Amino acid sequence: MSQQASCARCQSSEAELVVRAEHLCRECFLKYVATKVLKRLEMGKIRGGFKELQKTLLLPVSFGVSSTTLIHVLDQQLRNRVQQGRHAGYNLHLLFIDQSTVIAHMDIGSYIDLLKQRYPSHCFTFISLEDCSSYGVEFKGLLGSNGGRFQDIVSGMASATSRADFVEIARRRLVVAFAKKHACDGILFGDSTTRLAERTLSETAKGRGIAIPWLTADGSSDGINCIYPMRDLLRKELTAYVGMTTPPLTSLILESSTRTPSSSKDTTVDGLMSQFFESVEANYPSIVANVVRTSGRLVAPSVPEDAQLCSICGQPVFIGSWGGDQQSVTSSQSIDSNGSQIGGARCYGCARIVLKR
Amino acid sequence: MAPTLCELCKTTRALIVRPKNHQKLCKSCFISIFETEIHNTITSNSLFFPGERVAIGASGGKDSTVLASVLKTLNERHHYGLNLILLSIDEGIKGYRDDSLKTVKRNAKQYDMPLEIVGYDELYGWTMDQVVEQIGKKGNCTYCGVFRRQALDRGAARLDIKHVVTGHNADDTAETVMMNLLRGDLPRLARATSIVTASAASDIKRSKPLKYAYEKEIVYYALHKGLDYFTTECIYSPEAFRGSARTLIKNLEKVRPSAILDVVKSGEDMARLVPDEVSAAGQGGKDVLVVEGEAYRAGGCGSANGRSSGGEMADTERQLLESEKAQGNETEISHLGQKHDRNCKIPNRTLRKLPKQQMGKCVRCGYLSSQDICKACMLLEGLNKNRPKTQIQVSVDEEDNSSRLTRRMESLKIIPAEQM
Repeated sequence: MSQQASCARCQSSEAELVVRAEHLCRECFLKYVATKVLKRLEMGKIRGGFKELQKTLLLPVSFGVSSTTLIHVLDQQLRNRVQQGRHAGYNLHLLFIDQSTVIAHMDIGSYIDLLKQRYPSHCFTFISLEDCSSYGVEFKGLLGSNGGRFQDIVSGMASATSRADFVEIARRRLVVAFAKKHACDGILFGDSTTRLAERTLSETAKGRGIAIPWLTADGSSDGINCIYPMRDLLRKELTAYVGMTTPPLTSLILESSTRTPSSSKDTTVDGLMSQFFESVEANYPSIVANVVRTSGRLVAPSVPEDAQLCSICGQPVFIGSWGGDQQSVTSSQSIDSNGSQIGGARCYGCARIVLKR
Repeated sequence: MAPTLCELCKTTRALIVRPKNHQKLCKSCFISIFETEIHNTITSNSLFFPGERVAIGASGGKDSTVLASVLKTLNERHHYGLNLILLSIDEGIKGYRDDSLKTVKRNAKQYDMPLEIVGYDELYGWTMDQVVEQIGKKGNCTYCGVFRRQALDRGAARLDIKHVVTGHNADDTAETVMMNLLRGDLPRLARATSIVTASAASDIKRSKPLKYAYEKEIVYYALHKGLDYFTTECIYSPEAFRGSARTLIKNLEKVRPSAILDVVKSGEDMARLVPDEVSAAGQGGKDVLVVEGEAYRAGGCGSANGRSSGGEMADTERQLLESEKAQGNETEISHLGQKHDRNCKIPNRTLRKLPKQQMGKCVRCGYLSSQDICKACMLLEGLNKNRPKTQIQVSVDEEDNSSRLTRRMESLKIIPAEQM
């Protein structure tokens, strides 16, 4: 570039980056991100009104760019309100779920200390996936689910894809169970546009197309209000954001170690989608956003009152033979291929998790 | 070490690992289970009725050749009572279709089935080679797809047949699901996975008996049955969206073999989640951009293999950015500047109902269409606009051979000025 462009919004400062074909300066970009987040929060109508009680919103933290930005933006809003002598209608409760027993992590302790130092005014809780059973999150019928450790259930699974899928399911269920136990009014998930697009295609690939509205849309899901305030921001925008705040948030960001697995045996469906959208996002960011808008238009299926819930993911099971099994009409009885006793109903996607191959 | 025995008959040595579920099978058990599964698909969906005359869309490729072979076998074994006819489309692609048509002609003899060939040139006055010559290598799949759909119907109509079966396999279906998600095409997401496509207004039914069959298993079947098929794929590359969806599906299959079927399952389920007003209208809705273009693929289109240009995706990206910007500039003007009353139950904006898709007949060719002029005639209009110029030049001095010369003129490239 021969000449420095000026910011398209304030017209005064020098542009530092290009966001969706618009040259923006640092200040305007920070404002852009905050506005996108707060606008979504407003649309979720999750805050308490001025005369109502303050709501408690649970914010699951992963030390990725997205949830860290979310904390930062909301913390700023809350501080501003306090300075003005008003309340914002909500409190944050930060929750970190430790996965170190099933996924190798760097020393997470130092990150938690940093986070508590920087955002001291919010309640912070640390729990582990091993705590699932104490929150009533059970996985009936899975090997090792009878009083066994969570990590034993995971290691009993045949493929990397199944393990990753199951850990993700368990994490979500634990977040929801925690929120209910602590009487939270809603959950603020930190998923970015890119992450939601990944999830849409990834769940499709894992046979969970039917559950996409429950897993990606704002609104009541699993009996609690779920909001995705980061849904209008791309991962690359958030990566830029964490480096631009004062001081930068980069020291709080845990680089994900699951990017490119060393062996193809460790490749997962989720990992493949991350790679795929990384390249799509680089060249065609609007296509990523369009995927999320598209899946957002799918309407959650109506669930019959007597529907059984899946013993693994907890979503309703839609019974009925499927043409893709290509069984003759008379012999379409599902077989538990895991060899263990049938521990209750299983949805299509979770039946895949327990398959040996 | 003793050889691994077939998991089904447990007597013969296993030679095949089923791509679908990694089951180890002997040759004859594989062939038998492959055929049985297709039979189950046919019976559980009641695809046929006794005495029905069915046209098989035959390209000479592996899918349609296997379809013809399996249908002949099952028709005899289970007494379907079908009258099977091969129906081929000649797109007019030199070095591809002329060779594959020879295969279809041999198949007709091998399977003892009548063969009907319909050409793009006789139907539309254009071969695909001529279309590509005019519009370039980008976006020509749209033409081919629209033309083929009509051509199959017209071929069937000519034979007075009400049912056309095509060789779409599970990989194709999965690919279409992913592609429609990437393009934001909800109406097609709602339609594309169904095994039978027939609208109340159309009298020709389409079905895909191989919808759940893995491409790899189709190849194995063709190989072990020693079927005579044509392997070269279309020389013109597919659209970028289809290309990247295809690469994605193949990668998914490597990670988890069941993934192809799992995508098909998801696609069928998501079709039920598409709101009625969207699936009925041919639009994506207010904030979703639907990319018009290649939508149909009846056996024989080329493979991606990284050959796609990506131009289509770039175009979409630009369109999306523009509409995003336009939305940012929009200001909602409320009546008399009043603020919306918080207690008011009526929403600010009443949802606009999308128009229902109504099927009628094309005023030009009489083909079934939701518009006054059908898609094929629209495309032809664009193509023909540029044609008369060359025709006039030629017919001035040589009236007799004008048609042949026209064709010759069309194959001439116009060299841009800067290259001269």
